Amino acid sequence: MAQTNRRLFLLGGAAAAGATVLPSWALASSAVAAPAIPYPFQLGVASGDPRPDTVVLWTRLAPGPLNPDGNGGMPDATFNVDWEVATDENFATVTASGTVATSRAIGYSVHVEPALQAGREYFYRFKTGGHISPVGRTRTAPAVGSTPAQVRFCMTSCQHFEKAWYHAYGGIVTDIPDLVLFLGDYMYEKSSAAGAVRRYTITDEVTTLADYRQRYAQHRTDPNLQAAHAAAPWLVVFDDHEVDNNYNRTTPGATRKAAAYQAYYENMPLRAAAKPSGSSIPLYRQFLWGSLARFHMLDTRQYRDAQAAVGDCTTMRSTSRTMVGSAQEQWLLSAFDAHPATWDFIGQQVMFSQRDGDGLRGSGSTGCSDNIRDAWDGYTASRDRIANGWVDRSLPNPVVLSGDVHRHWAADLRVDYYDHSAPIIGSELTTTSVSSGGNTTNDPPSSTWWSYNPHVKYYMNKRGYVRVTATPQSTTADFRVVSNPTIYDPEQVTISTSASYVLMAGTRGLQRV
Amino acid sequence: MSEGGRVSRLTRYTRLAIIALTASTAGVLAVASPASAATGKVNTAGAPLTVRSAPNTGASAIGSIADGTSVTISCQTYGKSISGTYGTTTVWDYIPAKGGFVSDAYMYTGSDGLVAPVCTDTDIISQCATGGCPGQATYNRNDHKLTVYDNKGDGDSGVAMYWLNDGTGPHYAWNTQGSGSHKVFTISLPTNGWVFFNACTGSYSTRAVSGNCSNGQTGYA
Repeated sequence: MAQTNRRLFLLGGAAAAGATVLPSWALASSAVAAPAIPYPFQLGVASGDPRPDTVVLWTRLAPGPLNPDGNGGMPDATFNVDWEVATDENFATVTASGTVATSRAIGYSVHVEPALQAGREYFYRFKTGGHISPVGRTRTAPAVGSTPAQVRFCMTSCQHFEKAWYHAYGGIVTDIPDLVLFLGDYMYEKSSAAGAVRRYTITDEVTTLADYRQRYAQHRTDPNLQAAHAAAPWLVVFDDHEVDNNYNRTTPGATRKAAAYQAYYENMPLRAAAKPSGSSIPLYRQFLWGSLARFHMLDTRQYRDAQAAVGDCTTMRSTSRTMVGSAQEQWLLSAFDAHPATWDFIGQQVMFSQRDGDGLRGSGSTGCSDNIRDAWDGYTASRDRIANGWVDRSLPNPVVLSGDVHRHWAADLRVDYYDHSAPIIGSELTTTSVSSGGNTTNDPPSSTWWSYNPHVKYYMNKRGYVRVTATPQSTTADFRVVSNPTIYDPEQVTISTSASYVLMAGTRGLQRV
Repeated sequence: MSEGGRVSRLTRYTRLAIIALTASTAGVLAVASPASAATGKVNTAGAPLTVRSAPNTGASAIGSIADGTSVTISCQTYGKSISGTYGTTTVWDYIPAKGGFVSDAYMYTGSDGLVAPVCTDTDIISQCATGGCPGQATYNRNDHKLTVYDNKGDGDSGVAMYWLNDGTGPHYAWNTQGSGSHKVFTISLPTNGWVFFNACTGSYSTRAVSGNCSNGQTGYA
């Protein structure tokens, strides 16, 4: 049987092998006879990728999320899951509903894209086997051409499960954002015992689909993370740790990438259009928030060239190297041709602005030892093509959003950072981590370092997130910090704003509030 | 090992071959545990066989089965190593008619290995540290009690590590009372909660857990 799907193949094969191999319910064509399961909504609910006409609703059935086989304690059968969307929290007015099947081949994940109205708040839930899920809150994007007065989003990154408690999400839930942007390192492939407040059940490095599924599930057992997913739709992109540390287009191999991408899709509120195909996943995408904002969510991992060697200026500046791949680069530059919104938020993983450690431009194969090879500083020609691309196309208000470094940073962007009088062409907001790095004392760079980098405005080494409020007139960024993320009791933890910066529409440059 | 044991090994290989054949036909990986209940016959050379609440001789006796009785085994699990009629084994059989476990060392099943599925739905589930079950942990769904056994006089304690549905773990349940002892811990679980636990041994004085932990299993509220 060629070109048949996996589930049909499994069931057909089992039937051919005889009824004694699998119990009778596994042979049924309908999932009505699926076996009884304990409460399966242990990973919560989520929504994501809001459009004017839909938003993705997500859950994953896993009564025993930590089971080492990655199957979450689910029997090997097909399960029908009912879903409902309502305009009120009590589901008095259900506006959309349906049933979707899930099975082991898709990790018992559920992704629904209901037909909804633009610019509205909705509530959703799932039911299966007599169990009912928690209620999630979500919203659709405003209608194209509408003029929203404001959009508020929280952005964060890097949540190593073992390193600290997820108090940052408590702050995000309290802020009631329209959107949450997660900029990568949702889970970590390696365990890290030092300073751990909790541990993975399996501390070996994850490499297989079962491993990745189980690891995602363990992250999702966190109640603060579940609450943040249930509070607002998310726009997610991955960085390296969802696959392998500092990975790139050439490594690791296709088998591991395929496993990692499949598990990523299964565990994220992504549209069916983002389903992986073998060792590739179509992740980069755009969102429009009326005439107010546009979000370009980039993938800086899947298509990038391998890192240059330490100090190798020649390679880091090579015009033949890329951070995003030529197709994504052209897609982004083409989008810059049109200006449908006041603000262009370019959401991606690694820091875009330069961080110069020695005040020297450097040259040759050894002169750039201060360059951060994994960030855009290691791919300067690729960065220049994008920055010059928005300058040439007169993009009105570009703001790059970054994660990765477990620090808050605020910086203005220049075409040439070594020329301290070069015009400012945009700004960058970098969010710190939820937990990665654990509890730290702030360690700002030296005054000499700041003198090399006058475009950089702010640094803070604490855990937290960035809260952004955009209006037609301004974008305000509140850098939020958690007092000590290794303390479990939320009553003994404070979440506060360590600094705020504002960008005025039509004017370049960050100003401290 | 008795004569019965040698015969049953042959039977086991035959059975594995059948499983491998059917699994490859079905396009799935071979699963070592059979899918349905099995029948066994008690052989103790006279005395009734004690049925226990958990797969360990330290667990409470809840009944017995007369020698020579044929019984249905709905599932099997690993527990304290027992030497009996058919040799030495860590396999214990769950007898649904009695609501408890008996050692497979006194049960003729035609196999030294598992003849029924691994117990997941019984009220009591069990985990064994590797290397003959020197440490053991059982979880009872009825009262949310985690019992940690020390089955071996090796100088180490029995210890269970467990994770909870609030995102915390591992928590540690140490039994420092010595070989042959067990210690009971009550796990606080909410409605719809779960506990994921394994079994290990370790040194309580240094809090160092050995690398012999079982893979772990989920117990439900």
